[in-house]
Amino acid sequence: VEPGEGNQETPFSFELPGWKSMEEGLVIRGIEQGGGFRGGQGGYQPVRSAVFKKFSTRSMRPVVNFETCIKCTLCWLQCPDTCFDVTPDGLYDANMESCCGCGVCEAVCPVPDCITMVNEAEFNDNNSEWEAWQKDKDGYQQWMTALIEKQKQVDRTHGFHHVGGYAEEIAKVEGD
Amino acid sequence: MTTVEQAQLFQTENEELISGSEAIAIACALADVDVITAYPIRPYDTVMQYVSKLKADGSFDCDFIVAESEHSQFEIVKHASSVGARTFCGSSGVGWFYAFEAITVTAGLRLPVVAMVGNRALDDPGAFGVEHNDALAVRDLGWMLYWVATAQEALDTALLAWRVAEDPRVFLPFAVSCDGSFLTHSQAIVRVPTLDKVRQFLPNYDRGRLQLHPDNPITVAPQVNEDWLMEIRRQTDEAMRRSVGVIKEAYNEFKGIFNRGDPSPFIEEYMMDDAEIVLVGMGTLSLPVRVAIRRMREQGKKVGFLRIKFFRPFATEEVREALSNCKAVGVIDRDYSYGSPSFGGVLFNELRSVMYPLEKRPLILSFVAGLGGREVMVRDVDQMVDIVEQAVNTGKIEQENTWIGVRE
Repeated sequence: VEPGEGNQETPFSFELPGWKSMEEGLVIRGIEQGGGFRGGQGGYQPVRSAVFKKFSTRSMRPVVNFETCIKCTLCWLQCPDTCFDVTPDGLYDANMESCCGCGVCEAVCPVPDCITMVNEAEFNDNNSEWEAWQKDKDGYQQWMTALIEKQKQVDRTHGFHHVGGYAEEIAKVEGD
Repeated sequence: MTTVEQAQLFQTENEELISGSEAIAIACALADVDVITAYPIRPYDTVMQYVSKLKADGSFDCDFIVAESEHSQFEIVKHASSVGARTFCGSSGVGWFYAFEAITVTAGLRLPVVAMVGNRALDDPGAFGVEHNDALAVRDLGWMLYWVATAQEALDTALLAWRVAEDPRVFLPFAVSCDGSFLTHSQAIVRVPTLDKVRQFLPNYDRGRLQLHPDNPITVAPQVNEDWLMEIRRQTDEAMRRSVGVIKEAYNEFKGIFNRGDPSPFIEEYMMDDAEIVLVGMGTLSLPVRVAIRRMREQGKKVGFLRIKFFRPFATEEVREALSNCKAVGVIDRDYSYGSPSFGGVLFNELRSVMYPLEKRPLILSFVAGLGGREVMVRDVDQMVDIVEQAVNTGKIEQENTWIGVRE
């Protein structure tokens, strides 16, 4: 690759505070309690740290099939970063401002292909998947199906696709 | 917590014959310190003996924790300080070094721990006597660093230490350095102030929004990496810069309440008016130096002595002004810095750096003396002044660094 021929993509950039506006004493404020859903339409969105974001190192992100979700709460419960917003219709929308891409939601989801971890390079923003689905349900399904199919061609980098995946992998290795 | 006995003990101002270590232990009682940790090592251990005696006598109530090592000792006070407890601890020589991980994070976390360093030679070879290299090791880390010369100054400085360290504009740890044996084990008359006066001078420690408490949920000490670290270092740097003003303010108030103290909190000048040759040093070696200088003055020699009290923050402007009119300076280091510029001591190189921007600079010579607790005698001071005088007379420095009192 010659100079200038590489990836033209502009990496994420962040507004970082200076020493005069940062809190002293190496302190990060705890997140306050309370919250509501965006726009006050029911549901629940917890208050999150305004300064401490986790998404900058994310390499994969969850894509949710809202049609097959059975509202079991497992993703919302198990997410180590409390990144799932509860939508007014009781679904779970992974908030991309706070998701670090660990894949726990995909691993605990009991429904096949309801949550799929997809390569972060497929995305350019942190927009809400649920809002996109609300606007255009068919369009969303097509986009999501294509992404999932594409992802299936790729060797997984981490995690297991569904509950029981770990046992299957072990059995496969032992079978060899 | 103040006990009934304690309230009776410090009701009147008394003069007592006590050692430097005992003076610091009494300062702990007067300041009503909440958490004190200890681990024995000479000569610091005299402080823990006096603290436990005060506690056993019922004169003083605190959480007194004898840790299993210096590392834990300094970790415990660090954590106690983060939840809002007034703290004290200390160590000597390699014990201080063993606690170094905790010592450096204490400054990084901006926790106002006050520690007494009973200066002792670093191992090996094992020696109990004084050298300043142990305490000097924190000079770059955000600890305020003070060398005391008398038991009275040890008590007064400990009170000043909590006052300055716990000021929200500062929130930095403070090490009170006391020369082993010469200060820690030698008794002198000390005026012990009343509890009322100490309370007037020393408000309660309030960590405010930085206090680690269930009602104030915060995360302390995250991993930050290159995106944040430089800003955090700059904050600590600013706190150290601010400490200069806070020290002046607190010291002026101290003098008003207790009716004693020097014109400056940072330096002490002895026979400095019209002095052509000035010796500079820290700690108890100032006593023989003063005797020698008094005798030389009687013979008409224009000699003076400048004692550096605060090594950090270093009083750049005041030292420059004090030394701007002399012809030559001899810096006495009770430390070594192998391979340093001119193979001089630590204080020497600081001094030379302070004097560099002056247009008219005095000659500056380095002396290493009194290592491992060896006494600095009056005749040693005479020798140093002779060497400086020779440089003044010839106008040039033959040898920048000389070890004084070493057998060849």
